[in-house]
Amino acid sequence: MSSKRIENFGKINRQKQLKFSWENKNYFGYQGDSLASALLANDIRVVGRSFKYHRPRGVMSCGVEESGGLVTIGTGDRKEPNVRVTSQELYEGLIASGQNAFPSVNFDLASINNLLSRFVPAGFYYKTFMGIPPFEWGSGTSVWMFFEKFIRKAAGMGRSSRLPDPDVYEHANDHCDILIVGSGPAGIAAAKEAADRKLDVILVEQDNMIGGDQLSENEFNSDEAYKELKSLGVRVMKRTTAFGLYDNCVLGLVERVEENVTLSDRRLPRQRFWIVRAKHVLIGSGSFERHIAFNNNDVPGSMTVNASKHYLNRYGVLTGKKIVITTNNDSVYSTAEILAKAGANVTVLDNRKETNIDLNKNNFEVINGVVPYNINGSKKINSLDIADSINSKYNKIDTITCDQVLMSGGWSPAVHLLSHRGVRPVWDTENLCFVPGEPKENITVIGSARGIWGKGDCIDSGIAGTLDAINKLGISKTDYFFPKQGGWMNPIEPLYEVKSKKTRSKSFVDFQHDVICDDVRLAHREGFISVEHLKRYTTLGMANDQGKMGNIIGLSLMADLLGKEIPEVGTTTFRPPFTPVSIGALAGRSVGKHFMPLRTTPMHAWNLENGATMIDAGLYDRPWYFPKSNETIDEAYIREAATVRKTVGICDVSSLGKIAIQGPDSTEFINRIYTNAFAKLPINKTRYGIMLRDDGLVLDDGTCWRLSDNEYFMTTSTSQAGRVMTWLEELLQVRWTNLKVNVTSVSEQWGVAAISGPKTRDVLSQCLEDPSSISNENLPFMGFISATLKGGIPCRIARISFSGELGYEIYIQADYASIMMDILWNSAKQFDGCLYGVEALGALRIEKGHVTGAELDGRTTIEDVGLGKMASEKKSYIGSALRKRGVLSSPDREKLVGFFPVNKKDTFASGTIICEKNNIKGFGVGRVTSVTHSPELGHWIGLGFIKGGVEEWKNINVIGSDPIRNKQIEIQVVSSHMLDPKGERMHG
Amino acid sequence: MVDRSSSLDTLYNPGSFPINNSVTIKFKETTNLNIKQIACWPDTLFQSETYIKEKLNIEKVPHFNEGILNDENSIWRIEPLKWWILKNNLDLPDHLGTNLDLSHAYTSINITGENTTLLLNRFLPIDLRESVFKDNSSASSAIHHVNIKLLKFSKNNFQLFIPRGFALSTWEILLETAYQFGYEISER
Repeated sequence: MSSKRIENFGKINRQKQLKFSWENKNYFGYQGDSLASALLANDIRVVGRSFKYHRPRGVMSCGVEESGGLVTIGTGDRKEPNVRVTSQELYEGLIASGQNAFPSVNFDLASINNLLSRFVPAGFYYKTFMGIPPFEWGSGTSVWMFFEKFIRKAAGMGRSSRLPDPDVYEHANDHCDILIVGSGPAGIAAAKEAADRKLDVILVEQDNMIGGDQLSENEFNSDEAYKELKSLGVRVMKRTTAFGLYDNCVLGLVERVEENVTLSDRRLPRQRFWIVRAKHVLIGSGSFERHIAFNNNDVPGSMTVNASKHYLNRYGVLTGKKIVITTNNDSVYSTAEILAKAGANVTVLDNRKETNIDLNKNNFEVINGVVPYNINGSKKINSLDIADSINSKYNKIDTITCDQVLMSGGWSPAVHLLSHRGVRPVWDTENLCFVPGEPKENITVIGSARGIWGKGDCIDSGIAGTLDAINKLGISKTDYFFPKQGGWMNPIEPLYEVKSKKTRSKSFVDFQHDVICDDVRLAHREGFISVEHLKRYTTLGMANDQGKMGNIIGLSLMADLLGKEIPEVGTTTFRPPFTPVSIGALAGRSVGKHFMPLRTTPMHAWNLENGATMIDAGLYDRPWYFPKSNETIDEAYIREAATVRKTVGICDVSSLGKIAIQGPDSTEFINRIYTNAFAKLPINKTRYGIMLRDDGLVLDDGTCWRLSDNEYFMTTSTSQAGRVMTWLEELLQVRWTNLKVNVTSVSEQWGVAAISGPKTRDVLSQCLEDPSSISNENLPFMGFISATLKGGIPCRIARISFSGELGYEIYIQADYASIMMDILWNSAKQFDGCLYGVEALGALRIEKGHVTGAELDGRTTIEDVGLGKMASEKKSYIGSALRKRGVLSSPDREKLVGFFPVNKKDTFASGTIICEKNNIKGFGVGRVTSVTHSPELGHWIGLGFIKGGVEEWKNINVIGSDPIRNKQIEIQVVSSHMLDPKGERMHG
Repeated sequence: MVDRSSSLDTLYNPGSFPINNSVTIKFKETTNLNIKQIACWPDTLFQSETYIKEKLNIEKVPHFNEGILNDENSIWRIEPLKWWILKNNLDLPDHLGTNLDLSHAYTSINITGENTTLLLNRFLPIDLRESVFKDNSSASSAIHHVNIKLLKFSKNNFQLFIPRGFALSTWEILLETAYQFGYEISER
């Protein structure tokens, strides 16, 4: 092939030259070029190496079906492999390089694979599992394990950057009346018709110019067409690929927002992932020209016929000097005429004996009854051996000197999107292609995607498609008809493979995966005759090719081998995506700090200003600890916990779930969901409650406050807040629809500070307008009041203790939370108090044996956690029946206990397995769920479970086994109430 | 009484942030929210609607996902049996339903400008086209997995309600997305 840029052809902007780099050398192209056209214009023939045999490959097409020109674009963190040269727009500074080759695509050491091809046929790696014959040495995985690294190194495509993607991607949603996929003649006609009828239309085009196949017409003006559509109100989305069609006319689109990857402003999105909901979808996705399988049909310079026309009329690149066109259909003749007009010496080989073509043939030669037999050349085409096609015997008759071979073995409508909806294509025996089946949804196929070849007919089909949509949508009743499929003057004749008489020929079916005709025959011999098995055994039509190029040829070969017709063999189901979608586009903005939405408490800023080190706790960002200068986390939390026991501490516990329960049946509702009695809870009293799941296991714990006769305020654990809210809604909406109860999450309405320690009352008294309101008499343990903080700020104060000390929880409307913290903290400082985080909070509750999500892990019963007395025997509640199942009431169950190290200097971790001394293995007899250093006791302590509970292990020490850390320590089993078991402190 | 704080205080930076010298979106946080949620039950719906009409002096109660906005009233039916009253105060009697103050539970942002729907549809799957989502419409949906409520006052004039705890994170992602449109943050 000897390609070059020529004058008077193309739609490129020759006023704007663009510099780009290919394989570390600089070249120039023009604005409007694709990378493929720019490479061809610079007469660069080899642009890639094949997947398995490392054969040199050139540009073979002009669109998304490209199999030969897969390259790597960019460098560093913007390196993107496996980009089709045909789809990549040229831009100033573009850096491109070949892939799957060493040291370069022009000279690749791994091309030795081509000589060893007999050892690596289809499915060769599967056979490594079977061992090496004759004795199947290494059967299993050992042979594979040995060869795997070599095979993986030798095969494959490009390599991704290991660096994080620096670009921004985003998601977007849209809606329309009619969405049209493809801006070919049919798509544009459909869009105009729909816009004329005042419908809201989106026209999606994967190219950067609209026009589809019309872009290969010299006279077609894409800009004018675009302006006309815009003036009609059509929303045209260029550079946008419809990669998937889903239920109810929902389409997945990827928009390449900004092609220039050297974009300086990285805050702008590079790609946009659209979900568009349309009322009706028109698929005008066009069709793919097929190649022909014959020996060496992959040598650089081989190309589809229409691609050559496209390069000439769109990019002004003549792809060869002496061009041979091989065909079995009429579509090539206009191309032959134009190529000849542009200065090429053109010969058409038509396998049909006779053709009647209404064209000026004076400027090119036509030879009928002849087929391509073998290309001579390696990195470029030197000549083409031709054969006669009498009775498909294919005897070589001559050799034609040429530098390019163009192929057209027929056309395949792009039925992929319809296939996504499960609509099977139908074989058209007249046009030798699969045409779309009849969809049951609001989808209509138009243009050549419908199997209609003539431009005029395609336009008519586009108009008919819109009218079909209007009828189906019930907008109006209009008569319409679709033109007949096909449209050539002479019938197409089958030509899939020109079988070589050479024993080891390379007739490629799927260029991307190096699948040759002999691979299909091998699959047949070995029993992989189902089309789905054929695909997986040979990899035919897999990866980003997705059957666009070689599918029909593969099917025809299998049909021939089975003595069946192609439709009897079937076709594989095309699944989304139509073309690859980048991971970045799928992720959108859900990366980095936006991987999950961050949830903050109303005191978030206040906590940070006051020195908090934060930790992710679920979605929440919570204060972990408040270090003084140079304190480690251990030093900080131990100091904080000790301060709470000694004086007072303040902790942000706003993350607790809070639910308003209102309505005349609220009491009945609450009584049904908690295990303990709530029917007689007095107003202004709060009660600790446990709720079970239906299966009798513990769901969550928390408190419930009675605000009035018909109104309650429930708190839940942080981790179960959402689940409990959903559970309550489900109960009311599904099971107990007769109860007049409203539940509303008010978690965000209230900020909460826990204040704990012996000096708490002193601190809090200073903060209230009426200090007497929190006296022991006015606010006893488990009571609550409405009070007023100094400054006139209303709040609710509950006397609740999670730490085991005298404690209160102060609930404040969220917008006043920071002010409340100022008031409390200014007072607490006077009593040598501290701020404390979740680490100290954990230490304090473990000392007391209070359970949290670590213990209420969905496997424990109310008895397991030592709260069996809270399970009423007098009422029915959720879980009351199934909690009595034998397996849940067995005395052998693990019970909540405390753990002390026998050697008080020992430490241990959560997850430690508790084993009997003489039986340290397996799951043991228990487990440690929470650990901390206890400032009060002066050593490490743990909470957890052990079979039979503390009574069973009196005076019997156990072993704490930590196989991950390879550690074992002797442990004493103690009561879970490791500090102040009578609760005297919190009642003080 | 002391001033109320906002969840956006640390990241609310009024100013103009154009792109290509153009600003097509304007944000303004609505502070000192007043949100009263009233709710009834199926068998008290008719009576509740009558009560609301009388008390608020309105001709009809808005349908589900619609609202009434005028000088005196801002009432939005955000669930089939729940209304938000934003401008004035109203308590349903106990025999009709329940009343709940949610004034501190949300952060509210007014978003206006020609590209407002484009920005919102970067997150919301709602059909916001003029012909579909008309003035005085409301919707419940999610931005970046966070449940939100959206009220439409007029063309390109929306009021967004974000749960307070998620507002800071949502604000950040809204601004990052709005960058491509050019935006302005108004004083509160």
